[in-house]
Amino acid sequence: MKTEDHQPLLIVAVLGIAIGPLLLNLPVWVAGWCLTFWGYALLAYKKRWPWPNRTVRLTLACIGFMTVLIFLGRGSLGGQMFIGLLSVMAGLKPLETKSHRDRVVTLFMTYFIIISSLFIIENLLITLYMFASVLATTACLIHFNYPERHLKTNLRLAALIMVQAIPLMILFFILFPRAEGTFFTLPGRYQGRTGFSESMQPGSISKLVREDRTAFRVQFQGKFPDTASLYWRGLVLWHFDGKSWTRGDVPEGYQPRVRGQKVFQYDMILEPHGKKYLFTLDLPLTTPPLTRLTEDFTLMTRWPLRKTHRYQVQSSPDARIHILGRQGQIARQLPENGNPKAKWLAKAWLSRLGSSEAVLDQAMAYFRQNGFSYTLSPPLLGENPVDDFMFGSKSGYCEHFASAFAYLMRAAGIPARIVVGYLGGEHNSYGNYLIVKQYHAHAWVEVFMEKQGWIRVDPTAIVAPERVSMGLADSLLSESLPDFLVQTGLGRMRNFFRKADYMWDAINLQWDTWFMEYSRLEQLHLVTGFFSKLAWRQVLWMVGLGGVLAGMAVMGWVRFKGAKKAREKDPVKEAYDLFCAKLEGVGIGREPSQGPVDFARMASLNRGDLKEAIEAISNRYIALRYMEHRDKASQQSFFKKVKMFDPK
Amino acid sequence: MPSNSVVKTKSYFRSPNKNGRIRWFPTRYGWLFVLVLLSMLLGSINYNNNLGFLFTFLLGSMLLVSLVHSYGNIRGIGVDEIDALPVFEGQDAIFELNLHVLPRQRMAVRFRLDNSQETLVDTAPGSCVRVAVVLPAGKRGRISPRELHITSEYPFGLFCFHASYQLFADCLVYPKPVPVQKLSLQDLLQAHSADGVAQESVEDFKGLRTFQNGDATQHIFWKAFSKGQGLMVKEFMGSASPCLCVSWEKIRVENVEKKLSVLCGMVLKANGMKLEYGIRLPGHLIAPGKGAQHKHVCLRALALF
Repeated sequence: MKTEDHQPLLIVAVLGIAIGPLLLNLPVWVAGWCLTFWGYALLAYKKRWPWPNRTVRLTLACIGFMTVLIFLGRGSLGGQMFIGLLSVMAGLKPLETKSHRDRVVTLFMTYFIIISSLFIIENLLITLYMFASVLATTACLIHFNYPERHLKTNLRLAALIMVQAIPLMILFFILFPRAEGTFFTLPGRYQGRTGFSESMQPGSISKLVREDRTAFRVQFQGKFPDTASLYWRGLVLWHFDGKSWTRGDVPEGYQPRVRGQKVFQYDMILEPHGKKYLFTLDLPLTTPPLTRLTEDFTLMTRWPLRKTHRYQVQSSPDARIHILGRQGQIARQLPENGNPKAKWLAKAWLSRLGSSEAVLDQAMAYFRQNGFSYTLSPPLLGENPVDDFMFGSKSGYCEHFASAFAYLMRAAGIPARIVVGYLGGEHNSYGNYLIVKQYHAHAWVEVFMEKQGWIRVDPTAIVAPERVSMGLADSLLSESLPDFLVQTGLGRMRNFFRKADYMWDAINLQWDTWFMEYSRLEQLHLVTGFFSKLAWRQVLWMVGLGGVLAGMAVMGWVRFKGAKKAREKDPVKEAYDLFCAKLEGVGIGREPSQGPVDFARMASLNRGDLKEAIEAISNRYIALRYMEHRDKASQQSFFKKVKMFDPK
Repeated sequence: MPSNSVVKTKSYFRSPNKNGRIRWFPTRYGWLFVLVLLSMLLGSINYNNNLGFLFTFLLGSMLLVSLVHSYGNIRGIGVDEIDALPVFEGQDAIFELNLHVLPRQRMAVRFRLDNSQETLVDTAPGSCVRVAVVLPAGKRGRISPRELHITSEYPFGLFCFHASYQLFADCLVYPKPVPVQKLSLQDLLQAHSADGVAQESVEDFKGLRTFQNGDATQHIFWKAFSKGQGLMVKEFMGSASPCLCVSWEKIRVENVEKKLSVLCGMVLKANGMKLEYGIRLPGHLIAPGKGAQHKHVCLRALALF
């Protein structure tokens, strides 16, 4: 069939539409792979190049799968690998479109690609895009079944079916029972994304600074806290091995109660990060359901976070933890060797000053006075990173300062720990909430003072106070941006883009709130709410209205049916029946087994006088009845002939 | 073609709406699609992903809606008449179905009689549609397909909708003709060889003439001979043109079917030569005649022998 020639083209188009949103999330070679083979398929289609045979296709598939397994698999069955495999197949599929089976299977695979893109990119835009790609794929499915029809007709049919399906889809969506939690997970779904790791070493946070991705959004109920207290607590790191800080043996125990003067209540909408802890405003007072607060005030979940999570917490910035407990030992741990100069310095301070408070003040003063600078691109550090930083480069990012400060404190025998999290946030006035981005990532130190308990010390704030008061975007971002963007003219444009970005973000948040977060709880509220809130009066109204509507529908249906029946009766057949009835009136009945020609022959034998009229009517009837398209004139003349026919 | 219509077998539906229950089942792609949907649903449930749910329900709803379209596409299709022209053994019988006039367009509907090949039809709204379904004819006699199957996988090819109707249709199958090179006049050319024929043509009696060599002995007017008037022969109207009788006894072939095939070939040959011919079978006799209708009568006698 001639139209079948379009099929490689259509398949490439449909696969391209489906995989398009994923291309940015895929490694470059996968995108290149797809584009190469699609390009070949298109050229083979246009220029009649040879189609690769089965062996070539199988070899290519093997190569592709192996490459995916090596580069994306990393020995485990990850989501990234699943998408990689799908993409490799998507690249090769347009090369085999010869059989209907191949084409249909390719389209089913396209549906899989679409749902994968939904799982990975969860936002409003992809939701809208999904309808377009489903439409294209479905139109293609219809077209492959009926290639002789016009593509536009098939597209229209697919659109009609989709529009008719939408109400049903909404109903399913609202009423399909939802479960809580996840049954099993594929590891490594977030492998491609950087984010917080559960350890801190030089460079682990500053690499996040160039990431514009949102970490979480916060909706405060009532007043916002002031910018200086927007410390978002994440993990507490206890163990230092001379280079990096890790969580170590977490002191497990009772959950201390804390109190604060100013209490803020807020909703956190946390983007998935694949880890088991949540962020809160320092310090959290309450724990959301299904979470637990550890002794060091890290909020832990039971499952790694694999989807956007909303939770409500109360926090108080002025709350304090007063108990050291068994943590004292761990909080003074230091490696035996390494960083001798810093250790010596702290020990000298302790012996000179005596008290912990004095050492703390001395350390802060030291950072303030010795020409430390805050930079995004610190020089590489050697074997003793703390020494190298403090007495060598003297420039670093928050992790350098925090690490060095905590090291000094521990060396002086003061319990200290590192807290990693975020600092600050951007206010989105369109939705009145706070956006905290990856580049707000921050690390600070908590030290334990006998009288005050655990207090927060942020050495970065000592060196670069504007980082805290103004937020990172203004204090440092210019360093990471090309110069021409910083210049005033384009700065205004950047401002405009940021505004547009905020607006879009606010729309997306709204979408997330009522769509993405629709869960078992909301379902329960919606469904029970619908029935419980109905008063008897409303029920009566609804029954009455429903009855009237149903009655009208039935009446309309009956009338419609009647009209349809009338339409379905063929006027030509009716006229012919009249002709037969007229002949029957004079004793020439038509047997049920007699066709019009037989009957005409018999009738003309009996009525030789009417032979001409009978044959004319019969022939015209046959012509009209079995003609593709009737013309009105011959139909009218046929009616007239039957009317005039009088055998009496 | 009026000459064809003469010999067509006509059949009619008996209450198509009563036995035309529409059944539906998934095709193999349908099963696969259901599997795909289920795995998507499981994935969405597992990850509790609302976008996944939305997508799965969209596809599922589209499938359900397409079922309604499929049902509407096949519902109400019926056949007014079925015509079939006689065929020879070994040929394909073509049954022509005259469909009801349908107000709406119907897409990709397949028609099948028993195990015949399928015929794919699209209908335009409000038009009369004839569908030709081909059925291999098989042995001489009648073929009467018992069931008409109407199926459609419109629009996605995932579900097959099917309606079947009991039929009372048949098509005459003539014996397979054996080509006859020439009719051997010695054996066959006999003027009114059969008594029955002679009696039928009594009215056509024209007169008497003297016997000539070659005249049939049956037509000798023995009464005149006994009266000593010499050999007189009865002369009949129309016997001036050559008239032949294709006779069962004259064929020296043992096998009945082969005999019928030879007779069939002779009938066709005679008809092709525009001769007047009759046919004589054991217990059955067809008076000489001419034309398409006559040929059909003769061949039908052979077919149903």
